[in-house]
Amino acid sequence: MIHRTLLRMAARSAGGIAGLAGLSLAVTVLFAAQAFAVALILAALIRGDAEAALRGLLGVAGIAAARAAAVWWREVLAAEVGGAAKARLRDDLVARVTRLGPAWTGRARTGRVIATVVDGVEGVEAYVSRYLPQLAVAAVAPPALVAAVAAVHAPSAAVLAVAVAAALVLPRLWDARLLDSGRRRWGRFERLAADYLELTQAIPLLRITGAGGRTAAHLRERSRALTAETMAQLRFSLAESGVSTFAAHAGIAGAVLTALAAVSAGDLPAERALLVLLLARECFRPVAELSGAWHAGYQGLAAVDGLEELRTARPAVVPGTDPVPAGPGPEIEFRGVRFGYPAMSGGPRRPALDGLSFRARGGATTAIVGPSGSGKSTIAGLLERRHDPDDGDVRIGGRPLAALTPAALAASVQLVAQDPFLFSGTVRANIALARPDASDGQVRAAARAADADAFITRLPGGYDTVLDEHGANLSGGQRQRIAIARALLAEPAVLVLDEATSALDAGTERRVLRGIRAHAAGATRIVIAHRASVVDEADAVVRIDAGAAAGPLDREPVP
Amino acid sequence: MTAVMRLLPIIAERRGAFLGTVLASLGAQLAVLGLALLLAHLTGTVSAAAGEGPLGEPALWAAGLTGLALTAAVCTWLEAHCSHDLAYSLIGMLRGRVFDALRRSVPDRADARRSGDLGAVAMADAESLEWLYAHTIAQTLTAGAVLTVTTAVSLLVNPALLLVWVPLLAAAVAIPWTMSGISARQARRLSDHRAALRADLVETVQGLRELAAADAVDRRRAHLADVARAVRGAERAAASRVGAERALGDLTLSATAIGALGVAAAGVGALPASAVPLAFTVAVAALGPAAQLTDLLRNAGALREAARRILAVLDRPLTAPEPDVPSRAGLDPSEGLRFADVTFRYAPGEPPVLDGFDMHVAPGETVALMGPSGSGKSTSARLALRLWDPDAGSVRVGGIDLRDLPDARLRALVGAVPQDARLVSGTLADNIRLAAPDASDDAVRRAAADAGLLGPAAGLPDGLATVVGDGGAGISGGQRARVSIARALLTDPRVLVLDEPTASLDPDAEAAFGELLARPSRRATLVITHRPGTAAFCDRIVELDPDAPAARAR
Repeated sequence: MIHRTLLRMAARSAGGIAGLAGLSLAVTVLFAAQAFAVALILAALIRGDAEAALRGLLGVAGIAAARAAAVWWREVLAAEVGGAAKARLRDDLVARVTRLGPAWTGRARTGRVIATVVDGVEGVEAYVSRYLPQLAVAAVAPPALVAAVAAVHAPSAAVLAVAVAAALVLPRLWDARLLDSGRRRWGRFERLAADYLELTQAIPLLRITGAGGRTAAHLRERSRALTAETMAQLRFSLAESGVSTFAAHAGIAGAVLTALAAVSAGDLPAERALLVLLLARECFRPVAELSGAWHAGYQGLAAVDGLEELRTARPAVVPGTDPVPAGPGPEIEFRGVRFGYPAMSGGPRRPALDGLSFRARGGATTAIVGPSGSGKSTIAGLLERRHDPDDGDVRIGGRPLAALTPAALAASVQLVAQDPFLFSGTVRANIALARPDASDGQVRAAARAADADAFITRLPGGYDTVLDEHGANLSGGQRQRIAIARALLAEPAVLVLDEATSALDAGTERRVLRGIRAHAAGATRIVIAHRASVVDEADAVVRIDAGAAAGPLDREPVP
Repeated sequence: MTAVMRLLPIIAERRGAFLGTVLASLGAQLAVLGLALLLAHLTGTVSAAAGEGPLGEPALWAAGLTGLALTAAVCTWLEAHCSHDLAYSLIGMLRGRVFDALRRSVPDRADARRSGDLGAVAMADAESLEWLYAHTIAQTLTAGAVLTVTTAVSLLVNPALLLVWVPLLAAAVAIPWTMSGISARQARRLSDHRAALRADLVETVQGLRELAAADAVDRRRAHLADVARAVRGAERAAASRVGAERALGDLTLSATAIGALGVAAAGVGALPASAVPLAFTVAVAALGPAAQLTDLLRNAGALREAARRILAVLDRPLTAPEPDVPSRAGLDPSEGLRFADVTFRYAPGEPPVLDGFDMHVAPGETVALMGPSGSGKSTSARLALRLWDPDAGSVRVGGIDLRDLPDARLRALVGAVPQDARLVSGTLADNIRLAAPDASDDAVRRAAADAGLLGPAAGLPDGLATVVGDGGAGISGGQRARVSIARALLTDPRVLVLDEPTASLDPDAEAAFGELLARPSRRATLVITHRPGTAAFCDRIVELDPDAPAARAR
């Protein structure tokens, strides 16, 4: 079965696929040649001509050696071509996911994305390196072999032609339905993969709520549904294999019987029956191999929805083109900003900001305060361009934020979230994320400013301590300070702290805020918090009121 | 193969499907073999007697051969059906067992495996056993029947044929057998690289915000490409080996054909001309079972690796095993949550996080546990929730050691608001019900109202029907914290452990939460906090000191 999207992906491997098809064709031809030679040898032996038979055996040995080489080469080339296709496609998908941005990944089900990028791409590899080349061979070789049999005995060939046509064409009647059910199956597979990943990450929660057993039962139920879907799909595809098996065996038997009847009637030389016997089998070899390749490649076909989804999803923001980062300590201005999130359930957008305007003075610390749910984090999200305003404008140093390239934006604005993500890797690598070439001294200075140096040096491996995924082996306050050190090391023009010190005790928080003020003295600092301690450290305060759905806002900075 | 062996007994769970697979496989293999031998025999007889005798009853032959073809087709279909049914239901069961093992052994105390890696065990590794369950075991068993037939026919036709195909059959099996060491190493390398790729991808997706902020996306892509290159290198090496094994397998088949024809040509033994095609066919067919076995051996490395990864999860030590003899004692009404001389370290040889820690939170009392980051506050919470057991001393509820309580009873007694306020995807109501699935709508609404989730100020226009994504995506940290609080309130546990419950709350919400805590009840409440505002609502403060680990509780 040919699918446009997959074919487009395969187009870049056209040369390799042609090479593979050529090698597969060579293997098929060498099988046929061997069958031909064996038939002649059998005929010679029946005639009693042992010498001719022995000469023939030399030929068979030569053919066999050549085929073994082709078989080996095909395997190696398939890995090469498939591997290259896979690497390109995966890199392409990763690039797309990263372009879609955190606004998209934050709401996507990670397990689904991974299933597409890992397992789906494996399927595409099999489709490209196994199915497509074999499809070409199956289209060319059986008719040619039937034609060869026709030269031996036309009526036998007629029987074979019908059987080959049935074995090749009948399964195609199932293809469309097969693809449909394959997609449904893939959808379930992705959902299950997403559930597994999410719930594996949530195990501590499930344990303390006593929900582990119920969740396991729920997963079992989903897994059973996947099995049922798989079997529903296989019922079709396996019926196909039954039909082609019958067509092959009945076709071979019919052709041979036809030839034998002709021999018995004295209409056909005996050795021709031997040729029919041996060549008839070869007509179906490419068909059988295609069926095997189909099973390897169907996952690629089934995953096409996931691939399409990644290829067609639209990023929340379009990158700007101005490569010049903001100068030190730029003014930040929100002008009549309106923004609403699309609901997870796909309902209407939930308004979060409704015409917000304020200025944050360059080089100063501005605190943004307000109750939870008032849209404070939305302001942070707009500042890092996770999203763009639905209406209104966010400006940095007089320029629209949206004009900056991603690199210029990263150099201009650093945001520390309340629950920052730490990567599995060393503490140093986590702090130096934005500046991998930073010196030890720079890393330590940033850590010291974030009041992190002391606890890091007490860790078993100091700065070389390897963190677990999400920094799970650190406390919440330690994670936050490493994230602050990371942002400080990047030396941004604007530093945004979104509840970034929420897990710190008052004393530590004060030290961290002072450290930030000293280390990022020239930067514009925006601190989002609901605590008075933070407000005390600020030069100006913007108060945002909690409100009804529309979140009415106090738009004037409070001195 | 021992790892693979350990995954075989599960087949007993689906005896019927397995038996069906064996019988259908037997029928299919014998029918196909019968067809080949019969056609060869017929062709030989007719060719040798060319022009002298008719085919006998062509219609009869046609009917017989059609019957065999039909049997082959039906059995092939049945085999495929039964074997996949067997394989996928077993894989489903394994997935369930893998998650059961994970939920009893995560979080790791010392050595955390990455979630992408663990998730792959349930999905990809389990899926790779399809081949084992569906295509090898039953088929290997039925190969014996084929060998019996081919041996008998060989003996009838010309015993010298055995001298040809038996050694070559042995050679065909020996080739992948001798390579199994290499194959195992390649599989190990491949699965290590693949696991790394998957785990790195998970972190790329979940940490994209940080990567984008650090302008590190392109570097991350390059890193992923490097990991993918390593995968490719491993695949290339494996492909070369597999190609060589396939080529050698093909050569042994050709050698068998040459050998059988050579026997006939050299006139070894008495072989009538009419039996030559049959002799050739039976020798070649005799190698069929070897193909099954070589397929199994060729993939043995990959299977063993998948089995090893699955077993590594299934064999994980339980972090909080159920008691052998559950305590039957009633709860002591004067006892709440007690830490008695508790010592805990994350890894042997590391300094203890808690060292002889004593504390009692009496029923009706609310205690604030304070102290700087890393002083063991959250560790105490995890011990009170029995995510782990202490190395020495005990944690008790109502006077009973947590280790003596069956999990279900423990979870009913002890509720919690964890620090990260993680949710699971679904509605907020589902999340609040997580610990009490049978709670009424009214009870859920009351808990939600107490936690400040209802009303316009909560910023949730869809209220409890709001749908969140993975981990609680789509709502703010403060809103997630309130959902966690509502969840804990709903069960009204005897002991409540709150780890930084107010870190994401604004002062008004914090005050409302404090009033909630101050309501009179028989509950023993432990509040881990660094906020004086929250501690102010507590009856008592216990301070942990990182420099003298928890020995001094004031």
